[in-house]
This record gives sequence, C-alpha cells and structure tokens, in this order.
Amino acid sequence: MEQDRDCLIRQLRATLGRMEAALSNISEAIAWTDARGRIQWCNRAFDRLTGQEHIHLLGAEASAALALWRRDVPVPRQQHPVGLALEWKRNVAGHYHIRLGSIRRLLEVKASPLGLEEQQARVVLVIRDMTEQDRAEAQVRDKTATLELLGSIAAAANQRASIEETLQFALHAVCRFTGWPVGHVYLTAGGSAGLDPTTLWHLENPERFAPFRELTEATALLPGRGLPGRVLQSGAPAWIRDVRVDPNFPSARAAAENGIRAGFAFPALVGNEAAAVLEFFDESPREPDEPLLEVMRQIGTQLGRAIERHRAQQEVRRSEELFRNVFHSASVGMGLAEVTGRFVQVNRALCQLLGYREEELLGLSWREVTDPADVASNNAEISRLFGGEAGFVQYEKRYRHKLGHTVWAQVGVSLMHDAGGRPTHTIGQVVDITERKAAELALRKAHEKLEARVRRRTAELVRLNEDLKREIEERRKAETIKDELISTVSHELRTPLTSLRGFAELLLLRRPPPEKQQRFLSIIVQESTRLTDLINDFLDLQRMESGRQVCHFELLDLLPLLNESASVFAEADNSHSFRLTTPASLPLVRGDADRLRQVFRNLVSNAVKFSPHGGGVEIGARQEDAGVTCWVSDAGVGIPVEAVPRLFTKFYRVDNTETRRIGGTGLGLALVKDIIEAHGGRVWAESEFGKGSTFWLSLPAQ
Amino acid sequence: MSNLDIRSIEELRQQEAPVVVVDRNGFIDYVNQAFEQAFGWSAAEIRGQALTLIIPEHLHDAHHLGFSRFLETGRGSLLRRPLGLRARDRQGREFEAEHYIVAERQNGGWVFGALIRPLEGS
Repeated sequence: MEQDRDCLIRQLRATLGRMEAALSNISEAIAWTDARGRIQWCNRAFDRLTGQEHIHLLGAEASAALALWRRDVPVPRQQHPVGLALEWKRNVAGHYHIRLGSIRRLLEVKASPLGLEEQQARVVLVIRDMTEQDRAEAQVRDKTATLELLGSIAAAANQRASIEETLQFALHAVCRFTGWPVGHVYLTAGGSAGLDPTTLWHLENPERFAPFRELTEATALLPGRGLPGRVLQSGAPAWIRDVRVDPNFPSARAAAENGIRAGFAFPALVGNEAAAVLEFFDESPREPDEPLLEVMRQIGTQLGRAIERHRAQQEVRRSEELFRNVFHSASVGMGLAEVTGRFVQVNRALCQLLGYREEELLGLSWREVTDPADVASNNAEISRLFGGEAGFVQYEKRYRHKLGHTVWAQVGVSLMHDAGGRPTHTIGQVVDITERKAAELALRKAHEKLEARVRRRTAELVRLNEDLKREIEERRKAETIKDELISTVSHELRTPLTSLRGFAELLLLRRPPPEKQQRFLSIIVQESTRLTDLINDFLDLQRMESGRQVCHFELLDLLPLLNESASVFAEADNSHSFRLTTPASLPLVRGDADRLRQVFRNLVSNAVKFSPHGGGVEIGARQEDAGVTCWVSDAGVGIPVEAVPRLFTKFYRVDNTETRRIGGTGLGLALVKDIIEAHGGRVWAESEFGKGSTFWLSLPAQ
Repeated sequence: MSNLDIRSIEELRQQEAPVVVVDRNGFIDYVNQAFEQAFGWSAAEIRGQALTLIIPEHLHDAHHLGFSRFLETGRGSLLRRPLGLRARDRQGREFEAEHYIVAERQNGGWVFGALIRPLEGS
C-alpha cells in the first residue's frame, strides 16, 4: 500500500518536475496566485519582468508585485487583472504598462481563473512583453505620421496660392501632429531686423486663448526677444519647458493665465535667414523633445523653400507684368517668334504697324508678313544670329501691310535662349520708317533732279567751252592761215606781178626788136594766166573753206565726167597719152558735177605737169565696197616720201629743182581735198620718187 | 549562517540548529531535538509526515514544483545557500526563518536535509 503510494507520488513528481522545467524556461512570464491573489508560483521570465527575487515574489500580492499602469495612471488593486479574474471568474485580458525605475514597458496581460471552489481557486497570469513590438510599431507610427506631416506640408507648399495659406496649413498640421492646442506665425519685418506678428493662428479653443492672441498680435519682437526672437537670432528651433519659469518670455503672465505652459518655435529658413518663425504652445509643462524639433527643423526648411519660391514667383510675376506693360505699351513694334518664325507674342504697336489684329498675327510667321522681295535677305540676317556670328542684327526691310501696301521698317532682332543655352525664340523690335523712307525717296529724287540739272549744265558748259576752244582754235588757225596766206599770196602774187611789170617796162623803155617783143609779150600772157589761175584757185578755196561755196548735190554717174576730163586734156596735149580705165558701169554717187569736174581737172593737170617728159596718164575708176574709187596716175617725177603727207596742204610745194621749174599755185590739191571731203569722201596719194605718182579718191555710193 | 558550508546530510545532522531530513518523496525521515523545540512536534509525531506540514500554505505550489523539478532534472536553484523563507509550527504560526538546504544521493535515491533557524523578532 505504502509502496503503491510512493510509486504514484514519484510519477506525479516526475510530471510536475517536467512541467516546472518547461514553464520556468519559456519567454512568456507565467505566474499563478491563490484565491487571495497571492503569487504561488512564477517563472524566471516573471522574475525578470518584475525585477524581484524569485523567493520574494512567492506569497507576494500579485497586484503589488506586478504593479500595472494604464498610461500614467496606476491600476488599483480591484482593477488589477488578477482581482478582476477572481471576482468575475472569467478570463481577463488587456494591455498595461509597468514601470521599472524610469523604464516603461508595455505588457499584454491575460488572467485566467482556475478551480471552482473558493479555497482552491487560482488565477494563472500569462504575460507577454509588448514593449519592443510596441516600440517598433510606435516608431513606424511616428515615422509614418512624420512623413505624412512633412508630405502634407510639402504638398501645401507646392499647391497653395499664397505663402499665408501655406503657413496656415502648416500651423494646423503641426498642431494636429503634436496635439498642442496653439500655433502662431511671426514674419520677419521688412526693413527692420525684427519680427511682426501675423493674424495666422491655430487655436483649439479660440475664446479661451483670446487674451493671449490679442497680446501676441500687438507685440512685435526684436531679435533675441521672446521665444520667436531667440529663434530669429539663432536660426535654430528653441524649446521652453514652462513659460512661467522662462527668463525670456515677455508675455509669460498673460500666457500663464491662459493656461499656456510649454512652447517651441522654429524658423522657416530662406538661405541662412529666417523669413518666418512658427511658435506652438501646450497646456502642460513639457521636456524638450529633440526628435520632434528635428522634424520641425525639416518643416522649417520646407516652408523656407516655399517662401523662397513664392518670393521668386512674385518677382517673376512682377517682372513679367512689367515686361508685359513695357511690351504692350511700347511705341516700338515688338514680336516674339519661335525659331520657325511663327509669332507667339506681338504687341499693339506691331499689330498697328502691320494692320493685323493680335489673334490674326499670332500663328503667322514673320515671313508671311514680309515683302517677298526681302524674305531672302531677312533669312540671311536671321541665319547670322543662329550661326552665332552676331548677337544682334539690325536691318531695314519691307513688310506687307494687311491692306497690301508696303511698310518700311527698321528691325533689330536678337535671340532668347533656354536654360541649356539653346535658342528658343527670336525677339524683334520694329520701327516704322515708311515716312522716313518716303522723305528719303523724295530727297533722292530731288537730288537726282538737281544732279541731272547740274550734269546738263556742266555738259552745256563743257560744250560751250569746247565750242569756244574750237572757235579760238579755228580763229587762231584762221589767223595763221590768214597770215600764211597773206605772206604766201603776197609772195605768189608779187612774183608774177614783178615779171609782168619787168617785161612791160622793158617793152616800153627799151623798145626791143620784134622777136624779143613777141617773147616778152608771151611771158607777160603766161604770167597773167598764172596770176589769174592763182587768184581763181585762191578764191575757190576761200569759198570752200568759208562755207560760202555750197555744193549742189545730185545723183551722178562718174563715167561721163571721167571721159570728159580725159578727152579735154587729150585734145590739148599731144605729148602725153591718156588712158581711161573704167568698168562698163559705176554706181551712182551723190555729188556736185562742177566741183568734181574741177577735182579731176586739177588731178589730171598735175599729172601732166609733173611728167614733163611725157608719158602715160591713166584715169581710172572702179566700184569698191560701199562706193566708187577713182585714180589718176602718171609716170612723172614722183614725190619724195617725206613730202607725201603734206601734199594736200595749202601752198605746199615740193621743193626741188624739178618742181621749181614746174609752176603751180600750191592750192590745187588743197582744193581737191576740200571738195572730196565736202562729198563725204577721202583723198590720198601714193608715189615713188622719180617713177610717178597715183592720186586716189573715194566717194560713197548713193 | 551565511558562511555555512555544509556538504552532506551527516554534517547537517551534527548542527545544533533545527534540522529536518526528508526522503525522495518529500516525507519527513528525521528531525533533531532543536527542531522538536522550535516547531512543537516530537520526532515520533512528525516522522513519515509530508514536509508541507511545516511549509505555509502559499508556498506549497512552489515547493511541490521546485522539489519535483529537482527530482526530475537534478538541478535546483535553492540548494546550499541561505534562504529567507517562512515556516509553520505545530500551532500553525508562520515565522520567518533562514533555510539552508542540502541534497544527497543515498542508495540510488535523493535525500534532502534542511537547517531551519527561526529569525529573531518574528
């Protein structure tokens, strides 16, 4: 019997032992109490959790050994899960905190009643330490909330139209995040280095905080003064545990009366300067929360950026407004065009200049309103811009007004670039110079007219001058000729007259024998004839040269004239043989028959005279090119080469023994030349000294 | 007592303070005269009784579990060091006493001995 009992006991002990070993070593804290709530057993995890000696825990009141808290409020013995489980006889579970010194832990506590009888009743506690999990969750929660806060403020900074709206949003968001009831903004005062209060607030209970608000809104702060002043001065967030004991909180009394205790503030930094300071207040004293201030620092940076961007936007807007005003009110036409040439912005002056409404001009290219004649040169100028050859080009061009007429303009064009330096637009200034152009044109015309007049007058003067010169020259020539003539004529006349007088005196005074008389008389006749010829030739020449001798032109056949000339001489002269070399017919020429007869007579007479030993004389004519060429040649004495060019000069006579013997007036060839030239013809001579001469003349055919 | 170094049941038996020896099942096998005086039971009365007789009610669970765990695993956390534990006498009075517990293998089983010195003033 005893042995059976021992065996049973051993078995029970073995089971118990195993159970104890298992329960002792698991990580959850386990304990149980008796019906009065005193700990009967607990494992090591429970020892650790409570921080007490195992031995001392045994028999200890569970509600005392495991003192629980809900947030900051201790759980009374009756509310302790062990007490509740004993009272209600059912499972109790909940989350509680325990405090070990300054360490707070979150526990999940389950209390389960065991045993129905009053005395045998137990409560089993199973406790899980949630602190780490809670902390991790709290961290995630905090982080999420922080990110949400930062995100929402960043979004507000981007989306809100004004910086005031953004700041207002930030006040609400920070108060929601911290649970603090008061938020307010100071802005840096323009000019002075202090802070001006704004009317931007977050107030959980406006009526309650009204006095504080009133006081704050009436208080501007200098750097270093008050909480915002300190933040302004340092550029960093600041924290006040309790305004009542802060040495630098000017409105501490009013704030305290309104229930304000803790406060913090942070700057919205633009660069290194605070542009605004946000302040927040709570109703309980609070220890500084560095992580919170770090979040606020980030918010301050975001708000600073928003303020900076708002300011920049305002500046851009102001610039843009200014530009638009200048652009539209400018008296100079201005147009902004894409690189394709399409207008994207035009001002009133340009619309007026081109006659288009703004909406008509937008969408057109400048090429479409340019006079087609100027498009190519325009393109070239614009290419210089795009090619980087010039930063600004200026030129005059013609536009085509909507109504079709031409508008002259002086145009200056430059390029606009994007941030990457690529050209995006051309901007042109257009000045209407149509009137100037018209004035220029009128001036040019007047100028041209004047120049033409001057040219005409000059030409006239030149002509007059030349006429005068010619006249002078001619007069001088005439004078020379006259002088020459006078001397020559006087000489030429004196010689025969001297002979006439000499022989006439001989006849009168000496009474020579009849044979001599006969000889003297024939000399006198000969000399008289010569004198007569001389005077006739001279008079003819004078008439020709003075223009008094007018040719009577008619259509002439030269053949009869040549025949006649040859036969006249042939009849009177037996010592020479005359030969006529002519074709059957010749083209008619326009000529004066008497004068041409005189020409041929002179030429044939010369041929006879200068071939004193007889010989052949040829008179010829032939059709040549556009006229008739005639010649008279002899086999006489010929002319020295040097004398040939001067043959047709008045009174020129080849001076040698042969010619001295041969008489002549020295006017015959000059007369020939004058007559032929009066017919539009030409006369020249060819000769070989001692072998004969040929005189040529050509006359234009009709 | 904190500098006690008792290694065997035999050594324990020679102590002048109250001593109790129990078998592997937790039944009392021996008490000395000092024990009889301190707890009020005679050796004959208490021999064969369960040890829980002298243990206050609230420690019974802990005792059973700790005792069983030692038997099962051979590892005890309370052996051979002074322990402040409450004890109970024949009249049911509980008092604070210093305990010093020794375990020893004899004839293939464990034998336990405890020296229990009531603390003055309790």
